Amino acid sequence: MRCEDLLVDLVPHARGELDLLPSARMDAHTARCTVCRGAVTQLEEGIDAVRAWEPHISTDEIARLSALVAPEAPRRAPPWWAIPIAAALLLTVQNRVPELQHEPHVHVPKHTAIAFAHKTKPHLEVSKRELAPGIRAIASPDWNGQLVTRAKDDFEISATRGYAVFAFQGGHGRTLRVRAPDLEVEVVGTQLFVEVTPGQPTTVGVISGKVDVLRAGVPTRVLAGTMLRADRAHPSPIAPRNLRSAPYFADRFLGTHASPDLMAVLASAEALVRAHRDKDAEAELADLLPRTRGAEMMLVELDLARVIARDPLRREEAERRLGDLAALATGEVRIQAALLRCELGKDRCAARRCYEAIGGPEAARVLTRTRLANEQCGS
Amino acid sequence: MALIDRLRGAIAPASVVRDHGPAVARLLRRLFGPRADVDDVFQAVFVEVLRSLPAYQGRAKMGTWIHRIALNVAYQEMRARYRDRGRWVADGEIEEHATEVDDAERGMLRNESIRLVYEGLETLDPRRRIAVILHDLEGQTLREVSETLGRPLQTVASQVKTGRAELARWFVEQQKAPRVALRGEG
Repeated sequence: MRCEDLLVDLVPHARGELDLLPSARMDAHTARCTVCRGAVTQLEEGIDAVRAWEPHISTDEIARLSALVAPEAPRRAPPWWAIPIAAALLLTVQNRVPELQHEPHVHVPKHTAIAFAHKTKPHLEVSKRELAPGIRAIASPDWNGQLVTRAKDDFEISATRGYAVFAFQGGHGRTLRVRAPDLEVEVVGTQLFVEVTPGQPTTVGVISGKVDVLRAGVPTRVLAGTMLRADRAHPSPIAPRNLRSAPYFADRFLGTHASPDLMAVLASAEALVRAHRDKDAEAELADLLPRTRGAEMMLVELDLARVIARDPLRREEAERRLGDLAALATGEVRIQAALLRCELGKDRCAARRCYEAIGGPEAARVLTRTRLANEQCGS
Repeated sequence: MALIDRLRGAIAPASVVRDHGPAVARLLRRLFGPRADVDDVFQAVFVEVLRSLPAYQGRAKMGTWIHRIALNVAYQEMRARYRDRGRWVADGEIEEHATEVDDAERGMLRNESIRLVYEGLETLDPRRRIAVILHDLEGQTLREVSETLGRPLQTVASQVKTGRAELARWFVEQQKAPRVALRGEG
């Protein structure tokens, strides 16, 4: 019998799942085949070790990972009046939402947009309004949104305060724009959400279909399954969501060589950036810079440039720093510096030309991901 | 229910990450192994969770719902890494598993065993890999794996069987490699 014939039974044998006959056959084979015997032993040990292994995730590790996803927000206890009002709200909304969705005359549209915008701390009372035929909202009392009918079937809702959930009956050329202070969402069709919370980047998430998000007049198409975070301090021509954080790069570039001090400062700076305390992050990084050498120094320099680039008034400084880094650094730091520099291009065509000049798989990926490759630009 | 929770501000993104982050991190570590860089996947999981939060109906517990999203995102990541295999370099250090009870040598051997298993798993097609991990390493029954992954039972059984054979083949090849080297040295 050849080893090949027994491969299917090797894992079940290592797990003690084989019936008597195949097990005896396997035993007979492994008694004379050192290769299979060794493989079975290693598999047994390996599977046992993995099953017994409980990954230890330290509190620091969790804090670091959490900082990559969302800024830490202080947990607030609900006020004393929240519970009865929440109960009332529960009844109200449970009664109203089905109405909104299932009223007989409301055709369930092919293109329905649902958007909600939080402008302040959510209030617990809501009211249901029909803003226009086919545009309904459940809104908080402090919501100050106004609907403007720009032309037949062309609507715009502007709000600077409060939150609202919209149900929009699209199709047949009907369009809706939701305007928030730092962006506009053009509903091309289908489902999306817009979330604006003070002190955090506005988030537009598309559940299905697509939307155009306009910032400073520049559209960015957000497709289903993706999310865009718009930071008013960083009106980049392309979505900056894929910019990697410094701790990520530290792992990549330095591997196990990164000193704990460096990692701590990078993680701290990242947390500050996410909390919109760019100045503090910059100060921490600038303080660290003279104490670093070689690859660590380049990494800190890259992160410093990234923080500076967030300030629209300091674009030139950021570009200069990144240009120096792209020229002097090596490996991935050089590539990342060049890519980041392209992101500062004054418009999408400039960004596209910049990425094309870099070339290589990384730049090609960005061109595809951001759809810059489809941009209509002159030669 | 989810809508009301959102209106109440009960499901704040930060609290979702804080409450469910540790479980997701542990799950990803077990799916990708102790050496793998799971930062990207962790981020992707919570981007997906936060994106899908408006659609969360409250039918399943939030932990279960997030677990399922994490599995899906992890599977997509496995596919991406599988396509890029050869270019992918695991940077992370192997965690030290030796406890005070275990002596250092046993701890090292155990780490080596774990490393080998995940190295072997990385060579499997992601569909088979995730099925083998859930069945053989996480101890789920085939029916549970089928429900978790939303695949037919027969498909899962076939994937586990083929995945096991491929893993076994890899281990057998590993056994052959040092023998050749030793012969060469000798």
